[in-house]
Amino acid sequence: MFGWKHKKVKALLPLYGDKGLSPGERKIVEEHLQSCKECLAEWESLRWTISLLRDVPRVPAPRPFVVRVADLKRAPAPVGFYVARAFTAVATIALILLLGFDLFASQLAPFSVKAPAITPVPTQELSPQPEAVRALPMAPTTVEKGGEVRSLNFGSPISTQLPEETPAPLPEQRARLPLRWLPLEIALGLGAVLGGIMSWILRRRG
Amino acid sequence: MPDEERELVERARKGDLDAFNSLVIAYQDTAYNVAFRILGNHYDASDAVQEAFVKAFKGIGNFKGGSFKSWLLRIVTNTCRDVLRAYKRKPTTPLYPPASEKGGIEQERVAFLSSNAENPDNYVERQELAHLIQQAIDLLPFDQKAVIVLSDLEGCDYNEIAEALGIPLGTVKSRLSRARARVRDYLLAHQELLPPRYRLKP
Repeated sequence: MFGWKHKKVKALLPLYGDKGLSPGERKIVEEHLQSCKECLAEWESLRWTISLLRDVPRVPAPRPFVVRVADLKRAPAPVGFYVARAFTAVATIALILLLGFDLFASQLAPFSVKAPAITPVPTQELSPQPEAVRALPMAPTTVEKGGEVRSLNFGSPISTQLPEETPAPLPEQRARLPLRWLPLEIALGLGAVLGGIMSWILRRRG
Repeated sequence: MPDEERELVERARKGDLDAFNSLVIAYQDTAYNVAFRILGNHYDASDAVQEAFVKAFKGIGNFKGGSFKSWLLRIVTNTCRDVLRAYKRKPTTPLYPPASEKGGIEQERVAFLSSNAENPDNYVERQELAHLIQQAIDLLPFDQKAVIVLSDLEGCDYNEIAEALGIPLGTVKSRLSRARARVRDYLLAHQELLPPRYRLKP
């Protein structure tokens, strides 16, 4: 019957009793209450509720709550807190020592890997190109040598003479050892984090 | 904030415990009533208020100005929230009756409190009203409980509530609307438990 206005006023009614509504909203509610018995009854029950709430007697504080110097000292933490903190410390120190040892060992270890020899692509002397050469068609981007297909630099004119000398193989490359104790290091790291979280929770609860 | 209060806050910020305790005396009734209505019993309310004042002294360096009352009420309501969360984690049966039950500690206080100028009959009726309203408040979720206690029982205005709870003004209004409607429904359903003068006239 009243449509949106009725719904809107019903939503505004709980705040109508105090200064919770804007002047425009108050005007809408006042006008609507004159014509809607349902909203008027709703408002009466809310007004009754608010008046009862405001009539509840206050309770005096049972004692003074002044703060004493002794109250400012922290209460001793539970035993679990110290256990968790000690565990965190031990796990952290063990993790640092193990990581250090592992990294140090990997640097010193006489472990090396022979790197595969890479034959470099023959280099070409870049010199100013005479007019005759510039007129040549563009070279293909690959060339075969000894049955092997190699990529050449892009778009430069082809050189018909490749250098004969074979390049010296690269020196052996030293490869780093992976961290050999990685699973234990991860476990120690997780243990340290969990121990830290547990000690924080226990301290807060304590 | 009155000048005297501002001066006390400044001294408390510098570590003056006596100045802080003057503020405690001024606000302990408000803090206690808020905690008591939110938690529903005197024992937890006392512990929560004491803890809140200790936290307030330790954290007064973080007070950035504005209303000291709102700042203090924020600490009190947060402490009450922690107590209620602890209840949920470790539900226990209290050894004392809650304030919403007759025969609780409220009744023990009647003799003490009736020494004031109020007519004893009126006082007893108001206690009955308080019991029923406490039951209605106990059923509300914490957010609505805090808003209705601050607004309708402590008389804080919307801005103070918004500051105390750290929520926008619109949220204060919507939570208060819902809380009032739910308390109204509860009171209507249990109207026969109210003294006749408090019942809704048909």
